[in-house]
Amino acid sequence: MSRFERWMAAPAAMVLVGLAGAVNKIINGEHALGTTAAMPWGLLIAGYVFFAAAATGAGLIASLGHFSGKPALMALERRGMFLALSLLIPGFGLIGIELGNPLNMIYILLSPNFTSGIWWMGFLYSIYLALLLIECYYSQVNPTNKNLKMVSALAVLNKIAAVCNLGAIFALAGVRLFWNGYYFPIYILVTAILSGAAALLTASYLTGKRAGLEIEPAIVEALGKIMAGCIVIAAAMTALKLYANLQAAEQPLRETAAALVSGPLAWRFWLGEVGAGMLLPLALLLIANFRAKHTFAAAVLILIGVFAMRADFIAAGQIIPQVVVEGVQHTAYHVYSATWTEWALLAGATGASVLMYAFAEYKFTLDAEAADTFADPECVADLTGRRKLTV
Amino acid sequence: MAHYAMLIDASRCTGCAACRIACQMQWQLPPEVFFNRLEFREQGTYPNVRQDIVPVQCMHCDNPPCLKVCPTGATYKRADGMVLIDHGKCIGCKYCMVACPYDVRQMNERGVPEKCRFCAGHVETGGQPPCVATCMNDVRIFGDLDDPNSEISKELKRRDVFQLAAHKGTKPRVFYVKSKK
Amino acid sequence: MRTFSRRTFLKAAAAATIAGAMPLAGDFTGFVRGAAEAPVTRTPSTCNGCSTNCAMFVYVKNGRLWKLEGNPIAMKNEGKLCARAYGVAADVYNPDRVQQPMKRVGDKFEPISWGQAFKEIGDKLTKIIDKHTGSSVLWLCHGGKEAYAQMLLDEIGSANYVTHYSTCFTSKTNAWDKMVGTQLTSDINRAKYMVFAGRNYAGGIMPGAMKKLMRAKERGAKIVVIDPRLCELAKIADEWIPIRPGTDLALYLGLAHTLISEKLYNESFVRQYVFGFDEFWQANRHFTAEKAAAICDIPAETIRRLAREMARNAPASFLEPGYHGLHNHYVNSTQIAQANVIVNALLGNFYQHGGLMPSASPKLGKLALPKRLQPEKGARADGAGVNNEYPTVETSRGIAQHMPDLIAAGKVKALFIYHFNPLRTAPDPEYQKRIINAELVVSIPVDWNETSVHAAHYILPEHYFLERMEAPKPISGNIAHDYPQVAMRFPALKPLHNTKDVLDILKGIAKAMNIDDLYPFTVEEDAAAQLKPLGITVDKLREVGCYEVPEAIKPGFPMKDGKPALNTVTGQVEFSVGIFKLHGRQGVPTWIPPLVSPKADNEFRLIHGKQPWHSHSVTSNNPHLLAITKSYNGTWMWINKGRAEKLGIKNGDIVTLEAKIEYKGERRTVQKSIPARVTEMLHPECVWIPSGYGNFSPRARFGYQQGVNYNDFAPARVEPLSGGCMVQEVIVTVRKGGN
Repeated sequence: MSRFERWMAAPAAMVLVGLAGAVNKIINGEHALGTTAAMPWGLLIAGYVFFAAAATGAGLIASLGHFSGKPALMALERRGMFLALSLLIPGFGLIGIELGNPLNMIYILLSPNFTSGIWWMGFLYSIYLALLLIECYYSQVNPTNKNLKMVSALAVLNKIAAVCNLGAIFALAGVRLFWNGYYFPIYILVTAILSGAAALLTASYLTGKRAGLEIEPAIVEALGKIMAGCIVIAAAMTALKLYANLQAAEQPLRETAAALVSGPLAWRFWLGEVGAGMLLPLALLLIANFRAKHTFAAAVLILIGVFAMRADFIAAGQIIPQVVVEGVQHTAYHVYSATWTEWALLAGATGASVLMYAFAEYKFTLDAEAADTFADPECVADLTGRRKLTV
Repeated sequence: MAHYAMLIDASRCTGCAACRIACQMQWQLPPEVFFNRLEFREQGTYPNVRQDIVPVQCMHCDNPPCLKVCPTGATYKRADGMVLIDHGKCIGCKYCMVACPYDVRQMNERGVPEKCRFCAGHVETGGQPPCVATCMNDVRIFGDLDDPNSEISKELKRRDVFQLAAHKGTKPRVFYVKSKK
Repeated sequence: MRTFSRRTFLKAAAAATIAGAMPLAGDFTGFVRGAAEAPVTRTPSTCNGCSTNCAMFVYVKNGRLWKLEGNPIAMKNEGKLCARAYGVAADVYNPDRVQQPMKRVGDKFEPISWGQAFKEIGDKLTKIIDKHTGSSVLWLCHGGKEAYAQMLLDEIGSANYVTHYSTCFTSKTNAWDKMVGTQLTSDINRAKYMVFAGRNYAGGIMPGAMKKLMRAKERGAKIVVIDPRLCELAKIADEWIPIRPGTDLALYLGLAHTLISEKLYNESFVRQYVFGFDEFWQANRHFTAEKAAAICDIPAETIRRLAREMARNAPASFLEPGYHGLHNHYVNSTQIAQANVIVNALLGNFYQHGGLMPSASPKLGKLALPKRLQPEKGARADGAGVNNEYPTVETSRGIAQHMPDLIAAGKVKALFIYHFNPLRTAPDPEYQKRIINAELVVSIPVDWNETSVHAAHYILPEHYFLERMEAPKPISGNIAHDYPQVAMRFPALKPLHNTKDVLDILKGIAKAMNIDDLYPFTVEEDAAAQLKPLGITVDKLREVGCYEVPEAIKPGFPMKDGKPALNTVTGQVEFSVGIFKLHGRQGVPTWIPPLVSPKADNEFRLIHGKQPWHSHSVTSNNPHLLAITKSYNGTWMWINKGRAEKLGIKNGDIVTLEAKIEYKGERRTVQKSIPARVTEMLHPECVWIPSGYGNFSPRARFGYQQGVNYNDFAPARVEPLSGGCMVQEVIVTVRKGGN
């Protein structure tokens, strides 16, 4: 067994664990989850948002490469597209398993409800998936196809719409105070790019490492700068939001902010969201001046941190009991703790994502530079390490 | 066309929960799926203390947030005002549960977020919902607002009423009698 | 902790409730279609959730229980049903029912055939009677419907028919029986001013009473509730007056003092119909409202106001005669009941509309049976009515809570326990477990209750109440109603398991004892004979479910030859009870302090009550009702907020209750932990726990070890005058934290 194959054993095992979770969810339905009537959305929704947003972020960076003309980013175009696909499909898998009756999804087409954010999510992300498939296809078959330009342009609009709508599902339903407003669509856009960049860097770094090659410093720096920039924006947004909510006139808002800062969500907020997602990576990026190893470490931390962000924001919106009858004393917070099934499914999605991307690396030509510059297939093989696998 | 509504006089409720289990039997629900609940409120200090018990259920809103967010139109509103669920169309995304300002949606055994059905199929022929019929304190009145002679029409005219979380613009069809302090 | 995982629980519950009848397809219009198509039967029955016996119709679809509807005629429920009704009905499908006869082998139970069980029980019983006479056999039951058992006791010469009432309310019935010769009931329909103490119709629910109270409120009647806890009835009352638990006697004496000293009482009524007024006044003339106030923690001015308002509205006012709340639970419970009679008599409300009226009781017939030669009965084993034991205790009810003593003393060798669960509902389960030491213990339950699991040698499961026909039952009573009513249980479902009717069980045992033709009839024949004088048939009753006799009860004190004709020695209301004096006790009530009182900062009196959705232990294993408990933290112990704060206890904190149980030669400490509900709605000197929890039968899996029970903390004692169990004469210490 090659080193690569051995390395793939870990994600494959994760997929198996995920399958066990999926089977349990299918057999036991809602009871397999830690969600309750009071907190109907749990870790699987957070996971879905994480994957879908990261997929969109990676896709957006890929598009950025396409349109910016910056070589460093252009080099990432294909890798970005394939990575997006590898993130999006497991994300879809997560939500498909989360749904109580996924087979009824046909009614999204048969009796669409245009006022529903989830309907638009289904619509926009289906298009995203279709566009990604088209782009990936042409990238391999006919990278110079003229129509591709148009498709890519369309895709950029689609990606921005999709990820903003993802935020809008929470923000514009108009019932959970903490989610309300235009904050989350923008916040999700920013953090989507953050997680997309981190995922891209992680993937590129590991790909290179596997091939025994150094990742292009320009790429590291470009992604590192994107990450650093997004962290700064996200941190500022988070700080402003929490500051405002802690001062808010509405008690539920104050309580939600308190839940994050000093309540039941505090450990994940400070360690995960702030520590792993913002402070540590920012420090790593700036201190090491975008050195590959440090940037890679920062990216991994960011992925963990952004997942914590997703889990936090899903939980925070629901954790405060709604006031239906004025003056009723509720328990301070709703309680939700994820079950093994939920963790297993998340592990499975992560494993699937890694496997899919590795498969793409192995099967397709993801290095634009390689494809253009090193026309000799031998060189490509050397660069990507594919040859090692085929022999 | 009928125009169904409910009037709840919470001051009469003594919290026996018969409404909950009578409904569960009518619709053969498992123990942890229930379509109406009680909210308890204690005010004052001993010995000058007062208790309020408020029954809460689906409000069959005229502007139902759960309907607005349902991606497949599984949640729908009938011309007679009932907000109902087409189980066959529900994908189980739970968006309605998150969106409901009254927290009344409950996931059933088949992965559909369920709620009070205003006893559709039972009241059209003159039946009373069991939550109404079983209540020893006659907390609830259910009926047709289009019939000026129905008890609910008369009581709504006679009583000072309010709706829960009305500021959220849901326009509930469940009304509450304002209590005399 | 529940032994069930959530999933199994649901599966079991689902199996118990949704299997079969309902189409499982998603869309509910399909359900309605299915519902409309399925054949539905509607059978009259009466609820078995408590002893109110609400009349109802049982809807069965495709052979499965569907739903219930209250019978609108029945005066105790007027078409309404409380949560328990639905819970106990659904329990027909509870997997924890005893599904066939069982025999104890060591610590386990093994299935046994009915024939073999009858044979073994019959043989053992015959041997015991031969050796120790029929007096060593005791039938212990809930009470109220066991005429057939009485026939077996008559046949073997046993006087030992013992009911659960001594754990419930016998001081009330005893006092009324001895002072008035009957039990009068409150005429809520016509009253203008009603005082309820220790009677919570919205907790220990009688739906018809609540209907009537709501109507009374609408017409402007006043409702005052006196209770240490802001109970469910107090919630809709005009006034809640918290009282120091155990001191209601002082309040009543204070009310009586005010009525007499302010000349508010009905002098002509007292002159004509009361015996012993002077003796009462002589003994209590110094027990002023102030004196009462200092004891019961209600301001003297409030006591006087209450007395004045009651007098102003008399005779359309009453001090409700009460039930489980005060009676039996204190050392002074008999005197509480006596003082209650006295306050009402002073108001002159006896046999008056709006005051206290007799229960309207239908005159049922009797099956004509050939006379049998039967042995003379010996003295009662429980000591009720026996000189030098408990001479003043009613023999129709007996004393239920000291069975292990009777067994240890060799008085009881064979014990039948029918529709009763003393291990959970009588004080001190550790003591009650010794019931197993009798030579023969036969439990006739429907489910795996504690008594069956821990004490029975044989378990003979009875048909569920929805599966059986029972003889007609008068269902008017407890509260006043002008017309007598009768209702009957008809089988709505086919028996699910290998169970039997109690009559068939008794027939089987009698036959095995070679007693021939003791029961030469069926339940239906018995029912027909009982209904005959009313002019209705069994089929007619099957149609209507509840029959109301069109002969109204009229107000007016019973008179004979121009003289008061109550069923007492003097024919009058006797303020002084002769038989109490005869046995060296005082005839009139005077202030007697409770046996024990809380003193230290961590000491509380432990009191209990019914939660609206549980009926003591009967419903303690019902998944639907337990789900309500879960929704509302129903097992939590109530504690006054001010007191809790001093002990550092916050709402939801786990606390540990500790009590000492002491007998001659035995001393135990009981410790149990439970979350605390910190509330302003409770008197500071007590803690309150709902009575329906603390299930300790591992075979009743849904309720197993949920919550705690007041009986865990109380020693088994007997109040000498009425046989009560005094379970609220218990002080517990409360500390934060689990044990």
